[in-house]
Amino acid sequence: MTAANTVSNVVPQRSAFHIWRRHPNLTVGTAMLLIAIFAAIAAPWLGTIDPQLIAPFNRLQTPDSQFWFGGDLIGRDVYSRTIYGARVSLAVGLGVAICGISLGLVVGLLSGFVSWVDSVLMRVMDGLMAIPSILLAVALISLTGASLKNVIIAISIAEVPRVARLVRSVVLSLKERPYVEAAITSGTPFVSILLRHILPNTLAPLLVQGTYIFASAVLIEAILSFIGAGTPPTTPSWGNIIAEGRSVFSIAPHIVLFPGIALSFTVLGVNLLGDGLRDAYDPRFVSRA
Amino acid sequence: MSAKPPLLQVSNLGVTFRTEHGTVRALQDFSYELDAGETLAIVGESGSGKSVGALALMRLINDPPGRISDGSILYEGRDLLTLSEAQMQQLRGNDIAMIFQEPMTSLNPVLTVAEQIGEAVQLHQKVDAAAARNRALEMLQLVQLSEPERRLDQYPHELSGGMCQRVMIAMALACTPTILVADEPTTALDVTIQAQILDLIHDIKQRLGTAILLITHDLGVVAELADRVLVIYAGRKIEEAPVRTLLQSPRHPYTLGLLGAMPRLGATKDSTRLTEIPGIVPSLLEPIAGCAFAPRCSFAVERCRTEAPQLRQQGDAKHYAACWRSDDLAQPTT
Amino acid sequence: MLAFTMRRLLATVPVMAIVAIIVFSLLYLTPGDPAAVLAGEQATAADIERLRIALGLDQPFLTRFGQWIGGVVQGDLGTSVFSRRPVMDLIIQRLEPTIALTVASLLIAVAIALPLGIIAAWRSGGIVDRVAMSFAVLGFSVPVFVLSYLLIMLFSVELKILPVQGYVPIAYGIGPFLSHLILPALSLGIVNAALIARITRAAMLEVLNQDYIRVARAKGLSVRKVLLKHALKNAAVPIVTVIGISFALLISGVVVTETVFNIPGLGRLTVDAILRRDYPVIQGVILVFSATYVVVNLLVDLSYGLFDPRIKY
Repeated sequence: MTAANTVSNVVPQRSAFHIWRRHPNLTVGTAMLLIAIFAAIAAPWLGTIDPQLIAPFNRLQTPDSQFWFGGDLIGRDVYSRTIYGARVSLAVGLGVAICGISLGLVVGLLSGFVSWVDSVLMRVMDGLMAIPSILLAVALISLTGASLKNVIIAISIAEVPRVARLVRSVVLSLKERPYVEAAITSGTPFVSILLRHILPNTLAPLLVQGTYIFASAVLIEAILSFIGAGTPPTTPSWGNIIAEGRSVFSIAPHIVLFPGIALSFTVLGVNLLGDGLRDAYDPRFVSRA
Repeated sequence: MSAKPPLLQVSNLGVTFRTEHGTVRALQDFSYELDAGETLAIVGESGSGKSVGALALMRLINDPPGRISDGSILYEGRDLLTLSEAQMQQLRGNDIAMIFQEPMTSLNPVLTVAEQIGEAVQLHQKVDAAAARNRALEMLQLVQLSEPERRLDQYPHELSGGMCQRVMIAMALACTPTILVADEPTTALDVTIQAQILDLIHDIKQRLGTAILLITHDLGVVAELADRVLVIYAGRKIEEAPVRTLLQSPRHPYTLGLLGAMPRLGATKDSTRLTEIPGIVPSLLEPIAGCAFAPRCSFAVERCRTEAPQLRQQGDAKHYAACWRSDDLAQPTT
Repeated sequence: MLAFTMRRLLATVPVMAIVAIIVFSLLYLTPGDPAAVLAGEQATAADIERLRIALGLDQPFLTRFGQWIGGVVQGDLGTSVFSRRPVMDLIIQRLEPTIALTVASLLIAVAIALPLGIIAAWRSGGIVDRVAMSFAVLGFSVPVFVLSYLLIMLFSVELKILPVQGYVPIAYGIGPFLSHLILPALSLGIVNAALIARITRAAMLEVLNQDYIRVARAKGLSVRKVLLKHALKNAAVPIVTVIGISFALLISGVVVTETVFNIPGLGRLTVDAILRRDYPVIQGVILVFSATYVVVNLLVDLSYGLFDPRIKY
């Protein structure tokens, strides 16, 4: 706290240049994510054609001036599929961040406030944490069928334990603070304690954790699609495009390369954003792993 | 004025630190000499640069941000500032050893006492592990640690603060250095333990003839151990004298203030309030016009704020002070 | 020490039990008819019914769970719906490549991450630090399969010095075994190294600020000795902890890497099972991987005492 205060005293100017100097990760990460978001929203106007259009003469076409990223195994335009793929990835990232945090928040608050629930829930969370998240998602998706919605739900469930533990640790430490203790003992309604004291303090760590979840969800979706347990194969998601290019990798590496770059770019941007937010807020409870 | 050169001769030493807000001149134009077997105390408040001076002698200032910018450190005729890092490593712990302020955190928590004392012995005296262990035991006996055999295989967390400081001293003396740098050796300890450690250092000085560079803010410690005293303020030496001269007739208002802040023997904490020197140590970011102590000095006159006083010889031949009004201080009437 | 080991060992039992319950309950808790989903779109009603009986979904939850857990305790993980062979046999067959890949990746990860993290911490703020930490963020962000393809492109397609894919058992010679293993292990190792390097740096940074580091320097020890003897041992607990955690990353990575490099291991078994909708196999693999993860982290816990004498058993 003192360190943060002195820093802000020394640098009173808040120009864009100063924010960039002080938080390069934050600026670069935000810019990269904005580019990805722009591609997703403006996909139809970015020189793309129908990502599902099959043009047999364009099969395994190498990248040229007309087909910037070349053609895939059945002649679809890899550029269009890659740009539209941003929609799938960002939808999964955002969906999982929202679902995972909401679910985790509920579990974490319950655990933090109701002690008999705590021991049960935390054991379940330990169990969930012991299952590698990709495998848990694989199991859920093979039982419910491959769809965007199921992918989001499956990854969200795998992310819940981390959020729950974070929220729980914030709640437990806040409960020790004199002002919260006083509010509890003086009979302040639970809802107002929650709104006044607990939620505002979980916001910063959850925001940071949320970006990490976003990044990891985008990666997991790609991996799931890649191993055939993700979005339906026809969906132009980056994982799917790469999976289709797998068999012809040595003769047509562009099918794997371009969506791979797009995927890495987006995840890198979100990770940088998360690191930047973490450095800016310095919440103690967040851990990446 | 002996013909023999001193054991250690530090001349015009300057140390700077680069910080976010600019360059801090932590130490400027800092000179002193240390003879074999002599104890020189460097006295000052925290932040005055006294610990920087000790670390600079060992060439242990972290670079970056710190840097030794000027001066020379002649030890047995060699300038330490021109030595390579490897040559410096041969010297550290062997010729010049150091004990630190916080005994509890200065010992490595995951290594045993024997390992920590023995490794310097093994390194500098090229002996095997068994010999190093024997030496460690000898040293523990020298510093009068209880049950020395048992202590060898204990870890720091199993020892008390006073015991840790004895281990630190044993560690520093294991290779019989010619100079022992003691940075606030008793500050972190209880009063009774402080007295024991001071006795121990005194005893060692007598027995081994080690020259001691004692860094402290405590004039009580100085009175007990030192032969000569050097007072440092805002990175500069402001007074230097044999210990008795300095304690009896200080010629710098700052020294006078420090003496006022020194608890008298027999005074309990409740009955006597320490006289504190008002104000804080100035920022060393910008060059200071005039005397650095002037803003806090009750003797300051106009000249003090505009013109920096140089060290001048006082009445006694070995007494130097940097104050325009040092002669006025000589007659304690003002 | 022994008592502590036993206590910790016993503490893993409830975790494993919960893992088993979760994995088993998925079949019952998922909305819709899992038998219909697993049977696929072309399945007839009779096919679905047959699968329902094979999975035991026709029986009450508790009865079925009792049977299943009884089998699991005896090493019976059920029968593959596709090949009709015991899942345990399928897993044991595929064990060697996965163990080889995991161990090699972990060794590579640690061999890259420790020096990188240590140097980055020692020269924090310097060029090595910046490069190393950029590499670490990049390592988090580039998916294993993208990295794998880049490595294949470089070493197999362009330079032609390593095989594109496949696996040669160690019994067939150490040379071919290693040449096939090196690319997958490198891809997986680099990604894991990123995480370990970051934590190593953070742990070392904290330790390097401690007084005893300066004391060690004042003794005349070389920087190398100070870093490796005095600092690393103090930073060891968070580092081995993250190595344990990174094992989860490694398991996910194994599934992907084995697919890219066509390695007949547990990961490949999982992917084949997904394609064949062979749920008992998926279930079995999850249990085995989760158990391994729990055991690895148990070992990590037990190792703390080796590094830090203050941790009492």
